Amino acid sequence: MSDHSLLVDRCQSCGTHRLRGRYACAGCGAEQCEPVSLPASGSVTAVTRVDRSPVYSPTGEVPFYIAMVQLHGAAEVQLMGASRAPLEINSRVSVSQCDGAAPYLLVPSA
Amino acid sequence: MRDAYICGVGLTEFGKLGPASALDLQARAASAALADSGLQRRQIDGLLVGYATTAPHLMPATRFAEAFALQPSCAYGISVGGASGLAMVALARHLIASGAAETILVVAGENRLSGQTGAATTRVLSEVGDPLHEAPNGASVPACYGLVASAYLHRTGLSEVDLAEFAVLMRRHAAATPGAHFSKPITVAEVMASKPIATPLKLLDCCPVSDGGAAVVVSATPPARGPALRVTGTGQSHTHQHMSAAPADIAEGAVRASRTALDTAGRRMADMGRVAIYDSFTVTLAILLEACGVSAAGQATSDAKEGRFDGDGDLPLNTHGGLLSYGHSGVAGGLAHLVEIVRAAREDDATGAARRPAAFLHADGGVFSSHVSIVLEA
Repeated sequence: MSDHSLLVDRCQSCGTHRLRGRYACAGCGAEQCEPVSLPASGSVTAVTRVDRSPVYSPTGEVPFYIAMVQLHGAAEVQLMGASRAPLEINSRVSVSQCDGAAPYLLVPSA
Repeated sequence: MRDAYICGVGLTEFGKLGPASALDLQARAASAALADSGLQRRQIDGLLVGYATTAPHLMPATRFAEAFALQPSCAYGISVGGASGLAMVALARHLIASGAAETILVVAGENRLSGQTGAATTRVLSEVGDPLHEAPNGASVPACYGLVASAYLHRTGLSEVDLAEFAVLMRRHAAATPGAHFSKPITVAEVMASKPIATPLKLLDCCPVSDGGAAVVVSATPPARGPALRVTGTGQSHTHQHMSAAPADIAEGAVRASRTALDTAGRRMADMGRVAIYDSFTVTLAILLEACGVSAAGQATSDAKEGRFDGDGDLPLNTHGGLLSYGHSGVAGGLAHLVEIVRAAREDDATGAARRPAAFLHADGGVFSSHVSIVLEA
């Protein structure tokens, strides 16, 4: 389990979680939400090793890894993050930088 | 409802076209489409123009109208990424059906290759990533499609070799198409050996960046000659912009848009004689073919391997070579698929080829974000 927590929004009407910065709930359309902290860990659902990119990455030079992560505390939230270390689909990761905005740095869980 | 006919088409060659602005390429394609339609400028009362990354402008349609000596009664600039070309044709049909316009010129063109560096293009396109949650991770568009491809291969048990079939097929089609950006035939082994970009995608899994233009005239009046192709079905769906907000099935928008288009046309996929599907990456083609119901789940690559999408196959696909080989110059790249369907339908008509009468087209913008489907039939 990660030592960190991740700030997301939770719909006050139906409880669906979402990344911050959106104005209504994709589940029910309600606009009222509250910030909550979730354990910053999840499972990889997609991963690519980037070998060429002119786009800046906080992980440094290529190759680096970009992954989609399904949060353990809220399966409806998909988080994109970056990793220096190789990742595989279904592997568990923690998010080491998580103040509610990218970059989200991923670290393979032991 | 009034019918909307495709009355003229124009397509420039794609590739590195030298000194030509986005406006130059738009005008070149529009001139060809207007000449093909046999109509006069004064008969154009509607204008739809797609965005160009090399020539950002507040009023792309008005700007083009001025340069091309048009004074339309309605004009709109359109921007839904790769879906823009088909979105404009769908909108043209709606405008004609409503009586807002009689004859609409749809224009796209961009010097995407010559007008900026490749790195600049990749950076501009990476803006499809969420600026708060995605782009700062270093995610380019190829990386986003690499993610989608990894999940697709994991889910289907297919491999990179299977996806490579689409790169080989599109190149085979382009080899027979004058004006294609890349026309030298390639093999699966060459796709596999091409430079790694973002696993599982390699260079030849990715469309090139090209210069080029495409234009279409859509009218309430049938064309003077050739098959009178009508837009009989349209469907759209916009499920998300960013991957982190996508539905569980990222291609759900393609499922919805294709069903709507077929329903409005009163057709089934089995009625289609030709298909044109957006192919920004090999995996885009595989996923969209399955989401639209052209191929069964997990079967798109084997359909390609077995020759179903060949020029003389059961359901020819992107017979000009698609984005992967004819080339991708932004909105014109997506519109070129429709130009090719019209060219092929005329050829079928002229040669008396026995082919099912309708054609299905689909394009997506973003990362399977915006979807437009169209059914054309004589």
